[in-house]
Amino acid sequence: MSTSPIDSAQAASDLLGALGEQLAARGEHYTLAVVGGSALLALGLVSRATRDVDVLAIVNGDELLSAQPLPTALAEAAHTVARDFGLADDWLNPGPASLLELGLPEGFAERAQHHDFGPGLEILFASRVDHIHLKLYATVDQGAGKHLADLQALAPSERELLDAARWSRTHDPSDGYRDELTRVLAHFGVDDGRLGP
Amino acid sequence: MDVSALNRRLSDQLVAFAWDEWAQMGVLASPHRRSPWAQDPEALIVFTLEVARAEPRLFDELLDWMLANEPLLSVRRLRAMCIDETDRSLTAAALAWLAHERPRAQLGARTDKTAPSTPQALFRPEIQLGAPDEAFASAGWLRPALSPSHKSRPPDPMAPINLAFRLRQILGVGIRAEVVRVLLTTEAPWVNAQTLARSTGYAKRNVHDALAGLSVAAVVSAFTVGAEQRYVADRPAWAALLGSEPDELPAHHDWPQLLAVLRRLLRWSAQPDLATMSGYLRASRAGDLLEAVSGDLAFAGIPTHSSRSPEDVWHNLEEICERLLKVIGVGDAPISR
Repeated sequence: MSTSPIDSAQAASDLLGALGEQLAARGEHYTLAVVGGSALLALGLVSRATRDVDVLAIVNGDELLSAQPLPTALAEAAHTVARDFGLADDWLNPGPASLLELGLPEGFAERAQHHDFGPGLEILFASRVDHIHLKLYATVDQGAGKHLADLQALAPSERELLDAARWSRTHDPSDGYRDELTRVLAHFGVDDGRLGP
Repeated sequence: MDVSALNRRLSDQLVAFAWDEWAQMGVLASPHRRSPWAQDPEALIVFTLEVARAEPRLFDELLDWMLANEPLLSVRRLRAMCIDETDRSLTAAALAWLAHERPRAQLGARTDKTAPSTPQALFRPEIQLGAPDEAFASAGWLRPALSPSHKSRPPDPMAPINLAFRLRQILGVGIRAEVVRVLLTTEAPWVNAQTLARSTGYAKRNVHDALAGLSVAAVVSAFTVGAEQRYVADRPAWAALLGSEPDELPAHHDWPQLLAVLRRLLRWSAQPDLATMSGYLRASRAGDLLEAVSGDLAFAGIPTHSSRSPEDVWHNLEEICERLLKVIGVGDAPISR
């Protein structure tokens, strides 16, 4: 199985459109909250290629539910799309689902951008502001690389970074995390003195 | 090529193929070629019962041929060649008609289940019905009453295509004739019981028993490699018995698999809802089909490729169709004579 990259907003849209068709053909409908590279591509915020679509949550009305594991019908439809487009079988995955347990930035759902992909699928793409939160946390937690590159591409303001930093401390209040956070903020020219204790 | 064009091409080519095969096997028609292979009669019958729904004359001549040559056929193998309910229902209808025409026929119908409550038209396009044929109606198919033409002849035992019938005359209608046919025609240096079971449509255990008997009779050699028993036929000795040279024995094709895949492709491409689907969903359904037939294709020596895009899936489907048509000697490819 190849791992064809999702390298444009159109490619992301084609894949999600195909997933929507598969779900509709099965008489299913899902609303998914999506973050990461594919969401940034779809929103036109970055232009780097990615190999997967990260599902943060299954949306049920006002509730965000864990996407871990993906519901059977959704997983089967994703498997068919993977076969049709020559993608890795985990191209749609609940990798970031654990973020839900520790809490999302306040107002996440209201800021998300809704996109319909036919009668079978609706996607809530995390907003730019929320991606700044998630990418800052990922940069500090997992190291630089694609997360830092994405964060730079989002061109966050000092205030946005400080808001994101405060939120990320609720996920990891350790001293080690704080030290690394200070270094990342400094990289963006932000003094963490305004961050508080 | 769109799906309706693909269906037309398949239907036209498969009808032409079936006419040519049956013309060499005793149906009253002029063959346009001499097939170099040994045909599998039951696999071809089940195949033709579907293909000839677009060619009523071929359908009726096939039934006439079955009536005339019924002692040469195996009802067990006919049933073994069925891959779905449509096959089973068409075969049951044919057997019911035979039983009606010749009540003591060994192929007489053993009704496995009741006919569906809503009978469907047998032929495409639908033919105006006077009085429907009772035997077919009992199996759920509507067609005009069928009387045998009595034009069919016994198969010419010397024609390569009819090796199966010749072996059945020598060994009887049963598993031994089928095992020997495959062993004599295959290009493989040896064959195991599992492969022979798939090629003949019999259970592996029964194939194993038949091979044991043929080995004791010293007309088939068995040898063991690792945990596997392998079998070869003494081709020179069999060729001498058949009045042929070893290298003149007919060719082998995995007819049960090839004809089953072609039948599935034909039925799939005839689905009316495909025309109203999006291009992506139609290609995806083609992907489902290719996935479902990949095992039979691999067994028949036809590889399939994984796809990188929906367009690729459709291209693969068209390519598989053309390769299959080439294997059976129709389409653009000239057949070796």
